[in-house]
Amino acid sequence: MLPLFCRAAPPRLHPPCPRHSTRLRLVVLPLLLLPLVGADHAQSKPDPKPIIRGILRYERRGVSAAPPTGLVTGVFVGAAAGVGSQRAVKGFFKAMSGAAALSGKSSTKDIHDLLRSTDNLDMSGWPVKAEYGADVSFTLEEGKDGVFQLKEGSVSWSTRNDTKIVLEGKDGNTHIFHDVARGQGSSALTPENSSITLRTEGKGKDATVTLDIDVKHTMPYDANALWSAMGGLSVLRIEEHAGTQQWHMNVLGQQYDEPPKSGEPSSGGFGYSRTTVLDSISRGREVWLNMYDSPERIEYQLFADCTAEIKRPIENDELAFDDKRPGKIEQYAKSEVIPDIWASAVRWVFPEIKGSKLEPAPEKAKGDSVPYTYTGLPDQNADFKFGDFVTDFDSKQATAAGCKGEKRPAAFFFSREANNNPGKPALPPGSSRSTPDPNWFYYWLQTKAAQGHAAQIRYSDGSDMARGELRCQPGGDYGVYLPETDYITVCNLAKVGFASRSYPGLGPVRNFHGIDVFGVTIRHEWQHFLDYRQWWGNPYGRYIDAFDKDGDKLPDKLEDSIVPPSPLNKRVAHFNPLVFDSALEGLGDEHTFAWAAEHEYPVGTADAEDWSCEGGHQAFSDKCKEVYQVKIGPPVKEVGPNQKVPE
Amino acid sequence: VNRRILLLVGAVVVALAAVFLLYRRSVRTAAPGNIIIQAIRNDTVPMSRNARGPKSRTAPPLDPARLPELVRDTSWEVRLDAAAMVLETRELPQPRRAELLLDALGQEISTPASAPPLTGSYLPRTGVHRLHYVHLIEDLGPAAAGPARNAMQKESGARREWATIALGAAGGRDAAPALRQLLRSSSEAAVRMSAAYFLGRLSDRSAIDDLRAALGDSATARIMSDDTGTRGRTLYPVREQAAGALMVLGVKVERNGNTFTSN
Repeated sequence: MLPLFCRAAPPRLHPPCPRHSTRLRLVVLPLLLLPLVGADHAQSKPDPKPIIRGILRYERRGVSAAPPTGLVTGVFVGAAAGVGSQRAVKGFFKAMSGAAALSGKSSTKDIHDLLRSTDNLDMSGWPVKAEYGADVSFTLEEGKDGVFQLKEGSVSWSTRNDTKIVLEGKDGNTHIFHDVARGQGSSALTPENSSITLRTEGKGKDATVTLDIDVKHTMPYDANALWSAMGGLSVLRIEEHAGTQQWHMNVLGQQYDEPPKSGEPSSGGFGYSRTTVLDSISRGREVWLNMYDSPERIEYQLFADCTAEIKRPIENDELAFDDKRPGKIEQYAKSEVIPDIWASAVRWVFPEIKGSKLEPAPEKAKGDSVPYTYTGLPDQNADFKFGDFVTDFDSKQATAAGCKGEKRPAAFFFSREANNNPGKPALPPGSSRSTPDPNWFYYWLQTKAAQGHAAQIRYSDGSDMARGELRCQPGGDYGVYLPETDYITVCNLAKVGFASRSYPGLGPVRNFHGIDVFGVTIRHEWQHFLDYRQWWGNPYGRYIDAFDKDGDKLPDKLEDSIVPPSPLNKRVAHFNPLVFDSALEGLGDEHTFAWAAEHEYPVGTADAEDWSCEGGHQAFSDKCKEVYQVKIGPPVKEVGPNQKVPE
Repeated sequence: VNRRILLLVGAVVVALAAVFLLYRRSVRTAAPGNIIIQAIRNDTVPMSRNARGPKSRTAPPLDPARLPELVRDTSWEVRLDAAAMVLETRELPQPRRAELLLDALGQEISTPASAPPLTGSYLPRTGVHRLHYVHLIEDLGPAAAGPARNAMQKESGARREWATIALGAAGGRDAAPALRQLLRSSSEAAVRMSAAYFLGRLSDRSAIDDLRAALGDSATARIMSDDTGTRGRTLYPVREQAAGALMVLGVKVERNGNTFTSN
């Protein structure tokens, strides 16, 4: 026999390989492994039996809905039963003779319609005021024959009767019949006491499905049947409590009470059948008159999964506060509930946004479609976030049927150019502006894009003056630094479309957008502040014109020793104290440091904190995503949100 | 023979097993239970969802074969990006890179950038870009001299003037007479200013007289500063660069405001 394992070299664990054994083993091993693979597949993934769940509501009124206890009701029921029996027989022969054939896709309604068509009697007007109703939830499990059968379930039922007949006789001989019954309860449905099946017949387009329902349950109720004759001189009363009856009689003042007779409670239930095509079996609703001319109604829904799938907001949706003050998000949440009968039982939990008032209150957030409002923007940028919209079911029945809600994250954004944030404006000294800072400035200042300098950053909308001229010039100022001050000013970046480019020749060619423009602007102006402090503030306490003949903001006596920033230093060893633009860059010498410093700002460092709409880096759809297009050019180094910004 | 039979039997068994597994799968799919469940589920079209994921700022890779076309693009942004790519495309020989950069410079003259001036600059945007291309050619060194010389001979007008400056930037000493001529007579201040600068870089002592004369150049520029104290300050760019070049040539220069003197 060919050994499965053999050795090609000395080790003694296995016998030596015979000639050509390798090829043979290549054949044999897969053959041996094949059943193992199959077995493993079968063991690791045992196919669960397919399950279908369902719910239904059934109602019946009139003669056939009456509980058995009752004097006058019994008469009517007996008569109706007689008529019904005749109809059943006539209907049977009618169907047999082909005079009225039922189609292959019929239901209980069609059968009753057929039976009722055999005569012209109408019992629907009989004065029996009785009703029976049942709410059923059930689980069907597929059997080996492919038929789904009842696995478990429950029924909640109620029955009621209030039938009264007064017969006025001669000489005051009035007869009063009054049957009252009332009962309700719930019980488990089991394959032993009930049957619900779902079976297919035929194939392809001709395939039909038959749903057969036969629900039975005990129906204990309390009843009181009264027959008063001769103006009350003779009274018969029957009391029933859950099957135990007791008769009471009073004739001409003589009271006679029989001892209670214990018995079993009555049984209740209903039946229904429907055969239809596959596409329409999942739900149904029918109303008909049965062969006792009693109205019946059924509504059911079958479902494989019971869910409240959130359709709105969509996953990772962008919810942006509007431009008004206070800013609002006015939306509605919508879920698709299967089965839809539990649509009103869907309960919503909306994400909390600190500092923003959420309506409706949790106890009112119910239903498959719920309007909601967030009013007021949060104080902190960190309170914008992805939050989960959550659904679940506030119904024991739904929970019992395995219904599950779901979570759907959506993101909250602020309107970038609105100014409805709750913060105080960061005014530059001397500014009398009363309007708040724009949202982008207020919230971005709380991010890494501010590079830790938030306390020394101001905003100018272009209306305030500094040293006799507009602080931010119209037409392109990004930021301003005034020598001898300890703060920098960011101008209205909306006016430049939140877009900037690096200075050609002072580092890689780059486009900056959105929050990165804010970041590089701060880095640029902060460099001016650092340069001022190094070359003027610390040594002299102020800027001195006389020490800077070329006006390039570098002290003349030091320029010979100041090395330009990279990559300029490859071409120019030092600056010239008499020349404003020593390196022929079209730029003052000190400014080369500010422009070069922009490349020190790690592009993308604040993306994870950017909740601006438009332009927010947390956005993923056209609603709030960045509006710019990436242009051709060299790749830009991307920085993760956790990377520390250099101080 | 036995081995062949065994191989054949093995292949047949494997094939049968595969067919069996496929059959079982198809039977499962077509089982009545599955059909009903499918009908009940009545599967709907999946709802639209936004995919969360990192955003990329990385520009699509540039096809080096398109560089000749891109450096001549009418968009100044495309030209700038393409010029940067020229430097990064190491497989291109240096003279070819120089040709492409000269093309970008020429196109900048033909279709000047119209964007607002950059903060801190005293030149219009096109002036900054022209200097940028010139400096890129300067970085290529002597390898760029040949193409610059060719461009200088081929072009005329402003394109020829800037090709001359490019030749000077590349270290071509033969550009010195033409640069002196430009310093004296170009109508464009940026050209005179650049000519002065590169005459200094070329250590062309024969240019000292012309540079001294340029200390009185009347061309002015205004600084677009982000410092309100400097904003709008008047600058004499030709004078400044002539002074710088003279200092490089070892000539003493003094400055008093915007007045330069050299003895």
